Amino acid sequence: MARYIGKRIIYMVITLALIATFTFFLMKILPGSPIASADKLSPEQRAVVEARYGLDRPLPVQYFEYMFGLVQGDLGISINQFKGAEVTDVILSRMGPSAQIGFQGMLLGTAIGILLGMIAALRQNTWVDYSSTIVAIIGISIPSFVFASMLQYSLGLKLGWFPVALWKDGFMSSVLPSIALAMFPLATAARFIRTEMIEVLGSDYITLAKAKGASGSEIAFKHAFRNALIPLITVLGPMAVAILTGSLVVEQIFAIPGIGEQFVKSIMVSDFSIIMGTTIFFSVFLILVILIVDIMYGIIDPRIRLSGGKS
Amino acid sequence: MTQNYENLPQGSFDRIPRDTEQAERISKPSVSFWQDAWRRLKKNKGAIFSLILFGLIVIMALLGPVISPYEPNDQTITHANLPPKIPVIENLGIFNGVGTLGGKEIDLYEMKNVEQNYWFGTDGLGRDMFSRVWKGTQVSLFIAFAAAAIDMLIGVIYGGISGYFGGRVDDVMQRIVEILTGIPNLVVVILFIMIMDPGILAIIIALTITGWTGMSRVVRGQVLKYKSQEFVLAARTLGASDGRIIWKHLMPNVLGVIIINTMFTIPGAIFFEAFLSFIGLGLQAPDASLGTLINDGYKLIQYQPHILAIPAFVLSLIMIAFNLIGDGLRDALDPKMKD
Repeated sequence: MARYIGKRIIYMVITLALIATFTFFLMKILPGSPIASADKLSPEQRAVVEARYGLDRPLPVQYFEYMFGLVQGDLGISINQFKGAEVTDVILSRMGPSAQIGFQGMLLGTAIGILLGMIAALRQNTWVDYSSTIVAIIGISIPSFVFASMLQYSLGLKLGWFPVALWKDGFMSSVLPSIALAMFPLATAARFIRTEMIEVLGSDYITLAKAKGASGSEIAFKHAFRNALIPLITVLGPMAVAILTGSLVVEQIFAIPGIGEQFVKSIMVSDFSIIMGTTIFFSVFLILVILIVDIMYGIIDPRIRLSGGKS
Repeated sequence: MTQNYENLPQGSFDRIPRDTEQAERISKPSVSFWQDAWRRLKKNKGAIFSLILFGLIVIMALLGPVISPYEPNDQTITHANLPPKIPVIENLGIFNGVGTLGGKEIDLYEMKNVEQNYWFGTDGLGRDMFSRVWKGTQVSLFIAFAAAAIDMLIGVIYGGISGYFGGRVDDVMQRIVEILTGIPNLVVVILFIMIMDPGILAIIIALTITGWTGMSRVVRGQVLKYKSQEFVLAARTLGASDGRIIWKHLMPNVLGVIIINTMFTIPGAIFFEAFLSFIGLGLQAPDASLGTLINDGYKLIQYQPHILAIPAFVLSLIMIAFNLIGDGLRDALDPKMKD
């Protein structure tokens, strides 16, 4: 186990270094200068500005400075959008709303999804099962931005139950975006739990529990459900990816001051340092989530000693 | 029952001798793997329905822009922002050209003196949504199919070589894949789109740059599984070359998972294309894909919801159809599920 974790962490570091190197040089090749209205400045003024931000030094020096900064959690400074603010501060200041809708979406989605999947498995091949399958297919198929705009139009604009956009009404503002983000985890969890439950319900120890005289609900909750829940950890990774991807557009749609919205805005105005910083931040987040999920799974279910990584 | 035996007419029955040769006879025509899979797929109503639905969408994507009297990019400013109006169906009270203007329900066609019917309405520049939606569907499907085909090609070759040759080759190739899969797809796609000129080609390249790793892993796993089995050993003993073993013996076995994987790559690619367009990294105007149409429509959601609703509906239909077809094919092709 320890060897496995060690190996995974080494890979993680290599991957992150590659991503950082790649983004750094990418931003350098991209056309355009990070300095706003660079053409209007005289060569002397330009030199002053470049010296101020360390852009006058040779590329390798800049690269190593950037990498050293990264290790210490310094993502550089935003030159054109925030007039010299630290990228790390910009990202941190916008983490709150993103984290809130992400968590709420994840919790809501998995909770309802687990419930749906369980009912579907216990009432297999009934209308309950079929409708839960339909919900799952719809949730997996329809992109979150389509959901988000549908919710915004119907519940926000037409019915007026929730604020249409902006982050002004506290929890109420977070409801619609959370629902939009919840659809994918909901569908994934419902599908997954259904399959797992059906498999578990057919196993020998369930027959034994029945023979022993355990009641239906006791079997469903105590025996079947618990065992069906463990493998759900494996889909947490894809769920996190989906929520993060979704948050870029959902935050945009609902005008939420989160990281995703900032990222999209930075792409539009080509604020390279913010793009770079956010890219690295997203990468670290996703890679960590997947690493933690894999390790957790190995600890919780000793039958799978993560030999899967090799073969 | 027993007393009736005497009443049975003589000669109605022949005695059948036990025939050892007949016992081994195959009484039904043998069913190939693909026929078997097709039979199972036919039983899956959702998959068959989706297949038909998808066929219709493809036909519309190809024919739609042709049968529409308007070009997708022709602007008629006086006809801007018209709601959908379809003859016959308009009598049902939907698609009748009635829209809200200043809070009042009003037939906008009458008001603007428009003689023609725009089946899906028009957008803010007076372009016909019917031809734009189907043209956009065409572009989206093209991007998705091209990306899936390239993913498949690279993935199969890479995974095949890695799995078949094994040893050090496999080790090195797998380390590369492990690092590549570690990079979040989202990040790679966005970064690549930024360095390339926006357009169909850029999106396809961005989608395939790491997209093939999933396919290569699946193919490698399957090749590893099959290459150590007896039929491969037998072929090798008989002097078959590596190429022959790969193409004639391994490929047919791996084909099932390749198809299943591709069927799930396509909706993924359609989603990413729409996603990129939505955050402003997609096709540039006046080119349209479903993603850019949704993005344009979103800006007018409050006043002209049809401009968003129609492409979003088509996109959702394609995604649902593909997921159902993929599910059906997985159940039909996966030998583990065989009962």
